[in-house]
Amino acid sequence: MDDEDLVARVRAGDFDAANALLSKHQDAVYTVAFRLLGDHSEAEDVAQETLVRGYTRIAELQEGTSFAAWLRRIAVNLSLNLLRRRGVLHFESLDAPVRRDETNPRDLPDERYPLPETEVLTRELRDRIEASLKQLPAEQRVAVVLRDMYGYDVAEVAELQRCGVSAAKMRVFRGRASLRRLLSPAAFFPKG
Amino acid sequence: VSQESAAPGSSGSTSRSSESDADRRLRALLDQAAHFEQSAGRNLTALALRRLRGRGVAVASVNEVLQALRFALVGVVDLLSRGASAEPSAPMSPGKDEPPNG
Repeated sequence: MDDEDLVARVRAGDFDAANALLSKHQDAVYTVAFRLLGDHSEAEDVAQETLVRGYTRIAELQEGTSFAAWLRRIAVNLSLNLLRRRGVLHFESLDAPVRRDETNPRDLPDERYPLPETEVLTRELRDRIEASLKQLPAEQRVAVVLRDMYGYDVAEVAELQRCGVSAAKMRVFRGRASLRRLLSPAAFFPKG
Repeated sequence: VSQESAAPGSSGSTSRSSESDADRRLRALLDQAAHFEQSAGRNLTALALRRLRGRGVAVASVNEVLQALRFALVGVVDLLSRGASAEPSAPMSPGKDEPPNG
């Protein structure tokens, strides 16, 4: 049974359908929260709250809207709210030009270790990606995860992070640069 | 060249074409990784429903509310259709809920 059918049944008061629908998406919800927050217990907490809202507010889901995308957006918003409360996601705009001496040299792209264009990621590489994402500053991690893993456009990233579009671009740019640096050796010298 | 590659404050020491290529590879890698979902190792749905009950909202009662809303909606539609037909209104369920006359 696809999501559309399940949503219709949930709206009709079918609790088993709600259980099936939420269970189907719980891992995806946890994953996006974990990628944004970088913390297991916080991701669990956000995931549970997302599922609660997904159930209690399902009437707000508009016709033709993907339940998965709608639920993910709830998880993203809750995660970002938590980051703001923790003080690691700031509201101030980064639109001001960066002075040359403020540029972290580690942010520069490292072209010595090009990433392989592999079709199927090994488990090891996926774990490395998750671990590398955790090492990024929260603002950069959030920007890259939203932009490159979940396909939000830069304007949406800016809206979600409550910063200017230029600041969002900067965060994506710096996040990618840091990720390239963190991932390249592992990608270039895979074990086994 | 992606919009992000031209972010302000970026270093001008790297050629844009090679940077864009590296970005493209990274995006492809991240895109593939995005489809790999982790499990929290716990039944988050069950915990979420328990959380809902913990707030005093019994799941069963939520269902009852939804049911009631549907029936209410049917009742409204019924009343509207009666109004549209300009017939004198009559009680929908005469009898036991009516206050005693006199």
